[in-house]
Amino acid sequence: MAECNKEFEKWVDLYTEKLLVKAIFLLTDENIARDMVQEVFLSAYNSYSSFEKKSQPFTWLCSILSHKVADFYRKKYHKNTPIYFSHFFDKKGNWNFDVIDDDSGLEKDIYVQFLQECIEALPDRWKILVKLYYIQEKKTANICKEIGITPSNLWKILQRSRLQMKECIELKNNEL
Amino acid sequence: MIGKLIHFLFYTCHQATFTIEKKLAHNIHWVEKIRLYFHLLFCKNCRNYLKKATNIDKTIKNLVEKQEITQNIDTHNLKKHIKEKIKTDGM
Repeated sequence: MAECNKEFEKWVDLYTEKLLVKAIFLLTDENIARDMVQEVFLSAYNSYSSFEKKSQPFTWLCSILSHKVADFYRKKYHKNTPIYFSHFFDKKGNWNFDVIDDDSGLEKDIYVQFLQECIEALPDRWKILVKLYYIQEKKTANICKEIGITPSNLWKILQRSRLQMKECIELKNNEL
Repeated sequence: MIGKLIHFLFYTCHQATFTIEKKLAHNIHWVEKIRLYFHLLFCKNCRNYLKKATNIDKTIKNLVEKQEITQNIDTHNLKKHIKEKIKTDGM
Protein backbone atom coordinates (compact mmCIF):
# COMPACT_ATOMS: atom_id res chain seq x y z
CA MET A 1 0.00 0.00 0.00
CA ALA A 2 2.69 2.46 0.99
CA GLU A 3 4.60 1.52 -2.10
CA CYS A 4 1.56 2.05 -4.28
CA ASN A 5 1.09 5.47 -2.69
CA LYS A 6 4.65 6.46 -3.42
CA GLU A 7 4.42 5.25 -6.99
CA PHE A 8 1.19 7.09 -7.39
CA GLU A 9 2.55 10.34 -6.00
CA LYS A 10 5.30 10.05 -8.57
CA TRP A 11 2.65 9.81 -11.28
CA VAL A 12 0.92 12.91 -9.94
CA ASP A 13 4.21 14.81 -10.13
CA LEU A 14 5.06 13.51 -13.56
CA TYR A 15 1.77 13.65 -15.41
CA THR A 16 -0.48 16.32 -13.88
CA GLU A 17 0.77 19.04 -16.18
CA LYS A 18 0.58 16.95 -19.35
CA LEU A 19 -2.89 15.72 -18.47
CA LEU A 20 -4.08 19.21 -17.69
CA VAL A 21 -2.90 20.44 -21.08
CA LYS A 22 -4.92 17.68 -22.73
CA ALA A 23 -7.94 18.38 -20.55
CA ILE A 24 -7.84 22.10 -21.33
CA PHE A 25 -7.54 21.30 -25.02
CA LEU A 26 -10.61 19.08 -24.84
CA LEU A 27 -12.76 21.21 -22.58
CA THR A 28 -11.45 24.78 -23.07
CA ASP A 29 -12.61 25.79 -19.59
CA GLU A 30 -9.59 25.58 -17.30
CA ASN A 31 -11.57 25.13 -14.09
CA ILE A 32 -13.58 22.23 -15.45
CA ALA A 33 -10.34 20.77 -16.79
CA ARG A 34 -8.66 20.98 -13.37
CA ASP A 35 -11.57 19.18 -11.72
CA MET A 36 -11.47 16.58 -14.46
CA VAL A 37 -7.75 15.89 -13.96
CA GLN A 38 -8.35 15.43 -10.26
CA GLU A 39 -11.14 12.97 -10.99
CA VAL A 40 -8.89 11.09 -13.41
CA PHE A 41 -6.26 10.57 -10.71
CA LEU A 42 -8.82 9.50 -8.14
CA SER A 43 -10.34 6.97 -10.55
CA ALA A 44 -6.91 5.73 -11.51
CA TYR A 45 -5.94 5.35 -7.88
CA ASN A 46 -9.08 3.39 -7.07
CA SER A 47 -8.59 1.04 -9.98
CA TYR A 48 -4.82 0.87 -9.72
CA SER A 49 -4.98 -2.90 -9.43
CA SER A 50 -6.54 -3.18 -12.88
CA PHE A 51 -3.72 -1.22 -14.50
CA GLU A 52 -1.78 -3.53 -16.72
CA LYS A 53 1.87 -2.77 -16.53
CA LYS A 54 2.13 -3.45 -20.24
CA SER A 55 0.84 -0.01 -21.17
CA GLN A 56 2.43 3.28 -20.24
CA PRO A 57 0.93 4.99 -17.20
CA PHE A 58 0.37 8.18 -19.18
CA THR A 59 -1.49 6.33 -21.94
CA TRP A 60 -3.67 4.72 -19.32
CA LEU A 61 -4.39 8.05 -17.62
CA CYS A 62 -5.21 9.60 -21.01
CA SER A 63 -7.73 6.90 -21.77
CA ILE A 64 -9.40 7.53 -18.39
CA LEU A 65 -9.46 11.25 -19.20
CA SER A 66 -11.06 10.62 -22.53
CA HIS A 67 -13.78 8.43 -20.94
CA LYS A 68 -14.45 11.11 -18.37
CA VAL A 69 -14.77 13.80 -21.00
CA ALA A 70 -17.14 11.59 -22.99
CA ASP A 71 -19.17 11.12 -19.81
CA PHE A 72 -19.22 14.84 -19.17
CA TYR A 73 -20.31 15.46 -22.74
CA ARG A 74 -23.09 12.88 -22.64
CA LYS A 75 -24.53 14.31 -19.44
CA LYS A 76 -24.31 17.91 -20.58
CA TYR A 77 -25.62 17.49 -24.12
CA HIS A 78 -27.97 14.57 -23.69
CA LYS A 79 -30.70 16.18 -25.77
CA ASN A 80 -30.60 15.74 -29.51
CA THR A 81 -30.83 19.17 -31.05
CA PRO A 82 -31.44 19.48 -34.77
CA ILE A 83 -28.52 20.46 -36.96
CA TYR A 84 -29.26 22.94 -39.68
CA PHE A 85 -27.52 23.05 -43.03
CA SER A 86 -29.64 25.74 -44.68
CA HIS A 87 -26.75 28.21 -44.56
CA PHE A 88 -24.69 25.94 -46.78
CA PHE A 89 -27.18 24.09 -48.99
CA ASP A 90 -30.53 24.94 -50.59
CA LYS A 91 -33.59 22.72 -50.33
CA LYS A 92 -32.46 20.64 -53.29
CA GLY A 93 -29.13 19.93 -51.67
CA ASN A 94 -27.08 22.24 -53.89
CA TRP A 95 -24.40 24.55 -52.53
CA ASN A 96 -25.66 28.01 -51.66
CA PHE A 97 -22.40 29.40 -53.06
CA ASP A 98 -21.53 29.70 -56.72
CA VAL A 99 -17.90 28.84 -56.33
CA ILE A 100 -16.00 26.84 -53.75
CA ASP A 101 -12.44 27.80 -54.46
CA ASP A 102 -9.64 25.34 -54.75
CA ASP A 103 -7.31 26.20 -51.96
CA SER A 104 -6.74 28.96 -49.50
CA GLY A 105 -3.21 29.55 -50.73
CA LEU A 106 -2.25 30.33 -47.17
CA GLU A 107 1.15 29.68 -45.72
CA LYS A 108 1.14 26.63 -43.53
CA ASP A 109 1.78 28.43 -40.24
CA ILE A 110 -0.96 30.94 -40.84
CA TYR A 111 -3.34 28.20 -41.95
CA VAL A 112 -2.70 26.22 -38.77
CA GLN A 113 -3.22 29.29 -36.64
CA PHE A 114 -6.50 30.12 -38.42
CA LEU A 115 -7.71 26.56 -38.08
CA GLN A 116 -6.98 26.57 -34.35
CA GLU A 117 -8.97 29.76 -33.94
CA CYS A 118 -11.78 28.35 -36.05
CA ILE A 119 -12.00 25.16 -33.98
CA GLU A 120 -12.28 27.28 -30.86
CA ALA A 121 -15.01 29.34 -32.50
CA LEU A 122 -17.26 26.28 -32.86
CA PRO A 123 -20.09 25.89 -30.36
CA ASP A 124 -19.03 23.76 -27.36
CA ARG A 125 -21.51 21.04 -28.29
CA TRP A 126 -19.56 20.40 -31.51
CA LYS A 127 -16.10 21.47 -30.47
CA ILE A 128 -15.72 18.93 -27.66
CA LEU A 129 -17.00 16.14 -29.88
CA VAL A 130 -14.65 17.04 -32.75
CA LYS A 131 -11.67 17.04 -30.39
CA LEU A 132 -12.70 13.78 -28.74
CA TYR A 133 -13.06 12.21 -32.16
CA TYR A 134 -9.50 13.10 -33.08
CA ILE A 135 -8.01 12.34 -29.68
CA GLN A 136 -9.55 8.89 -29.85
CA GLU A 137 -8.03 8.45 -33.30
CA LYS A 138 -11.38 8.54 -35.05
CA LYS A 139 -12.68 5.37 -33.49
CA THR A 140 -16.25 6.01 -34.47
CA ALA A 141 -17.82 2.99 -32.78
CA ASN A 142 -16.10 3.75 -29.47
CA ILE A 143 -17.13 7.36 -29.37
CA CYS A 144 -20.71 6.64 -30.36
CA LYS A 145 -20.99 4.08 -27.59
CA GLU A 146 -19.51 6.36 -24.95
CA ILE A 147 -21.53 9.37 -25.94
CA GLY A 148 -24.70 7.52 -26.83
CA ILE A 149 -25.24 8.83 -30.35
CA THR A 150 -25.57 7.05 -33.69
CA PRO A 151 -22.65 7.08 -36.16
CA SER A 152 -24.85 8.93 -38.59
CA ASN A 153 -25.38 11.69 -36.04
CA LEU A 154 -21.68 11.86 -35.29
CA TRP A 155 -20.86 12.30 -38.98
CA LYS A 156 -23.53 14.93 -39.30
CA ILE A 157 -21.99 16.94 -36.48
CA LEU A 158 -18.53 16.48 -38.01
CA GLN A 159 -19.84 17.49 -41.43
CA ARG A 160 -21.52 20.61 -40.02
CA SER A 161 -18.43 21.53 -37.98
CA ARG A 162 -16.13 21.05 -40.94
CA LEU A 163 -18.29 23.21 -43.20
CA GLN A 164 -18.17 25.90 -40.54
CA MET A 165 -14.40 25.62 -40.06
CA LYS A 166 -13.89 25.83 -43.81
CA GLU A 167 -15.98 28.97 -44.03
CA CYS A 168 -14.29 30.48 -40.98
CA ILE A 169 -10.84 29.98 -42.54
CA GLU A 170 -12.04 31.55 -45.79
CA LEU A 171 -13.39 34.57 -43.95
CA LYS A 172 -10.13 35.04 -42.05
CA ASN A 173 -8.23 34.68 -45.30
CA ASN A 174 -10.35 37.37 -46.93
CA GLU A 175 -9.70 39.72 -44.06
CA LEU A 176 -5.93 39.46 -44.54
CA MET B 1 -32.33 18.35 -66.26
CA ILE B 2 -28.86 16.89 -66.42
CA GLY B 3 -28.19 18.32 -62.99
CA LYS B 4 -31.30 16.57 -61.66
CA LEU B 5 -30.26 13.28 -63.20
CA ILE B 6 -26.76 13.57 -61.76
CA HIS B 7 -28.15 14.28 -58.32
CA PHE B 8 -30.58 11.41 -58.56
CA LEU B 9 -27.83 8.96 -59.42
CA PHE B 10 -24.85 10.34 -57.59
CA TYR B 11 -25.90 12.30 -54.52
CA THR B 12 -26.67 15.95 -53.98
CA CYS B 13 -23.84 18.19 -52.77
CA HIS B 14 -25.35 18.05 -49.29
CA GLN B 15 -25.21 14.23 -49.36
CA ALA B 16 -21.77 14.25 -50.97
CA THR B 17 -20.27 16.33 -48.15
CA PHE B 18 -21.81 13.92 -45.65
CA THR B 19 -20.28 10.97 -47.48
CA ILE B 20 -16.92 12.77 -47.53
CA GLU B 21 -17.15 12.77 -43.74
CA LYS B 22 -17.63 8.98 -43.79
CA LYS B 23 -14.69 8.67 -46.14
CA LEU B 24 -12.49 10.68 -43.77
CA ALA B 25 -13.63 8.40 -40.95
CA HIS B 26 -12.60 5.38 -43.07
CA ASN B 27 -16.14 4.16 -42.73
CA ILE B 28 -17.41 4.25 -46.28
CA HIS B 29 -19.21 1.44 -48.10
CA TRP B 30 -18.05 0.64 -51.62
CA VAL B 31 -21.41 1.61 -53.10
CA GLU B 32 -21.10 5.00 -51.42
CA LYS B 33 -17.57 5.27 -52.71
CA ILE B 34 -18.73 4.78 -56.29
CA ARG B 35 -21.61 7.23 -55.93
CA LEU B 36 -19.24 9.79 -54.42
CA TYR B 37 -16.69 9.19 -57.16
CA PHE B 38 -19.25 10.00 -59.85
CA HIS B 39 -20.56 13.01 -57.99
CA LEU B 40 -17.04 14.38 -57.72
CA LEU B 41 -16.45 13.71 -61.41
CA PHE B 42 -19.19 16.17 -62.28
CA CYS B 43 -19.00 18.61 -59.40
CA LYS B 44 -16.00 20.88 -59.14
CA ASN B 45 -17.25 22.59 -56.00
CA CYS B 46 -17.39 19.31 -54.09
CA ARG B 47 -13.97 18.31 -55.43
CA ASN B 48 -12.59 21.51 -54.01
CA TYR B 49 -14.50 20.94 -50.79
CA LEU B 50 -12.97 17.47 -50.52
CA LYS B 51 -9.49 18.99 -50.77
CA LYS B 52 -10.26 21.52 -48.07
CA ALA B 53 -11.95 18.98 -45.81
CA THR B 54 -9.02 16.58 -46.14
CA ASN B 55 -6.62 19.38 -45.32
CA ILE B 56 -8.59 20.32 -42.20
CA ASP B 57 -8.69 16.65 -41.21
CA LYS B 58 -4.92 16.21 -41.53
CA THR B 59 -4.11 19.45 -39.76
CA ILE B 60 -6.32 18.69 -36.77
CA LYS B 61 -4.75 15.23 -36.54
CA ASN B 62 -1.30 16.82 -36.39
CA LEU B 63 -2.43 19.37 -33.85
CA VAL B 64 -3.78 16.66 -31.59
CA GLU B 65 -0.61 14.61 -31.86
CA LYS B 66 1.70 17.51 -31.15
CA GLN B 67 0.03 19.13 -28.22
CA GLU B 68 2.53 21.29 -26.49
CA ILE B 69 2.48 23.26 -23.33
CA THR B 70 1.98 26.71 -24.74
CA GLN B 71 0.83 28.62 -21.74
CA ASN B 72 2.09 28.81 -18.22
CA ILE B 73 -0.22 26.79 -16.08
CA ASP B 74 0.30 26.49 -12.40
CA THR B 75 -0.06 22.89 -11.33
CA HIS B 76 1.64 23.10 -7.95
CA ASN B 77 -1.58 23.52 -5.99
CA LEU B 78 -3.42 21.02 -8.12
CA LYS B 79 -0.77 18.36 -7.46
CA LYS B 80 -0.90 19.06 -3.75
CA HIS B 81 -4.66 18.90 -3.76
CA ILE B 82 -4.74 15.61 -5.67
CA LYS B 83 -2.25 13.99 -3.29
CA GLU B 84 -4.31 15.07 -0.29
CA LYS B 85 -7.53 13.87 -1.92
CA ILE B 86 -6.01 10.47 -2.58
CA LYS B 87 -4.99 10.14 1.05
CA THR B 88 -8.45 11.01 2.36
CA ASP B 89 -10.83 9.72 -0.33
CA GLY B 90 -8.85 7.05 -2.11
CA MET B 91 -9.75 3.39 -1.79
